[in-house]
Amino acid sequence: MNTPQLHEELDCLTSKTLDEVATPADLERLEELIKMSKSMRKRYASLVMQESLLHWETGEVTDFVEETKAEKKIINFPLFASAAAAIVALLSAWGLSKQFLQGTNPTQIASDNFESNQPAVKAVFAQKGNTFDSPSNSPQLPFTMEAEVLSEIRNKAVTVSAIELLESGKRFDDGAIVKVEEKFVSLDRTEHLSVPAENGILPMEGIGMIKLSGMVVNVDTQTAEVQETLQVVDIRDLSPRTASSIDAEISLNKGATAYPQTTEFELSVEALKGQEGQDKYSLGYSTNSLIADADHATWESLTSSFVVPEGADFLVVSLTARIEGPESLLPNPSGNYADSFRVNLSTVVR
Amino acid sequence: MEENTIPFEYSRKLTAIQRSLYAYILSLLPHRSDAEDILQETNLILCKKAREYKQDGHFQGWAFRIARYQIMAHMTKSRRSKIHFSNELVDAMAEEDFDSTNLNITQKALQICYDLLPEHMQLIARLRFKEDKTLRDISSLVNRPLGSVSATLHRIRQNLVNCVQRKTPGVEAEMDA
Repeated sequence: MNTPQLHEELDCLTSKTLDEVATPADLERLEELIKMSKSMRKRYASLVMQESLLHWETGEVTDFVEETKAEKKIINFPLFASAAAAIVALLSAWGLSKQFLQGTNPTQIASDNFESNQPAVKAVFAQKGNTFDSPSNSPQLPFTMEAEVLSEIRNKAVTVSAIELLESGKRFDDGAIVKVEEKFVSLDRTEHLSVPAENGILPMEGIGMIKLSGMVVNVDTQTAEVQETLQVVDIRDLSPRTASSIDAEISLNKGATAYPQTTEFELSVEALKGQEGQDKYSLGYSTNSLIADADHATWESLTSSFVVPEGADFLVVSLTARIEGPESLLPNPSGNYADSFRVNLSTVVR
Repeated sequence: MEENTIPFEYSRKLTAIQRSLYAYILSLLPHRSDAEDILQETNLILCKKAREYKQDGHFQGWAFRIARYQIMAHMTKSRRSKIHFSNELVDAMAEEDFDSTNLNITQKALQICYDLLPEHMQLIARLRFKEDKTLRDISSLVNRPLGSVSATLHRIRQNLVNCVQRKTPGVEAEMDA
């Protein structure tokens, strides 16, 4: 057998092996071929290196994928569309809030931004129901997207679903507790994110504490991040003559690691506005952050206060944990935790 | 060096070799999940051993040796449960074949070659490499027999590897300019 034929056989067997459909006999033959010569080993190494580049982290190649997705109808859920939409929506939300503060009509801005060729752009807060699955049901998202964006997508999905539930007037949910207060209803996810003591961390109070989901790592930007919606408060029934402010407080901790990892926690409160079943727009938000210490025996407190803008319909309280730099690429099996989460909504008649 | 701190230069080197290290592990443990587990274990050990690394040493060689021990330990543990290569192959595979120094050039060439793939190949490549679909899933999504999908993936890999070999000198010259 000449070299091209051997290469052909090597390529074929390598492909089967990488697709995990090779038989023991295939693997034995492949090993025989690899051992045959240095050139065969080089060829095999090139194929596997290429697989690593294609499969593990190929930021630029994904650009191509995004361009072609509109023509491919075989995926039910428009992964790339939603991811791209999320990016544009985030940018648009930024532009929206900026212009809104300057007194421009948000509806007008939305149509300006979205009208042309981006029908899915309103996705983050505008798309209805089944377009965004809950995180547990979500298909795997492309790993080359910004970690921040991936985390945003998952978190917004939870928020969208929470708002829909509150708008529908339902009083139960699989992934949260619906709390009915005197003048408002809220959806609290903390109980469902709760775990008992683990990784050497004891709850600050009671028998459970909030555990954040695993971080999404972006190798290109060297960022690992997770964002969880903790509570969504429906304040549509508050009188328009009522001024209100919200204070959120939470205690934070992270598990010990064999190497130093600087984790930043961020507590955010965001006000949203929008008619039932319609697009929701951000009226503004407030965030506060801290860098967690390395001592897993101590809890650190973080607060965030926010004067609720007039006309707000919903308030969303979320928590983010983030690692930046090369250390974000290292395994983070120790987890990020929160406890003693409290939200206080104060109202005053104008 | 303070205890429990990893120098920036060490972190940078560790980050720079991740793709090569993964490829090296995958070449000897051709199951993605196993390779990813071993990569994690290796990274953890490399972090713990940061203080033992001599600044003037060959970082990739050192990291690959640690990975090699992890691979062999894994092969010993899973000998009965999975099909895998022999220990002799672990000895035969040279780390030099996974050099990370020119990876940016390879990546750029790969991008060009990926764009040149025919449309039907791009579709299957996306499903397999980006969306991590199994052959069975792809077969059902594109409504083609499993064997046909497997053959297409073989051709895709072959096209790409040959194309990258051809394009690399041009990309290299362009990046030097």
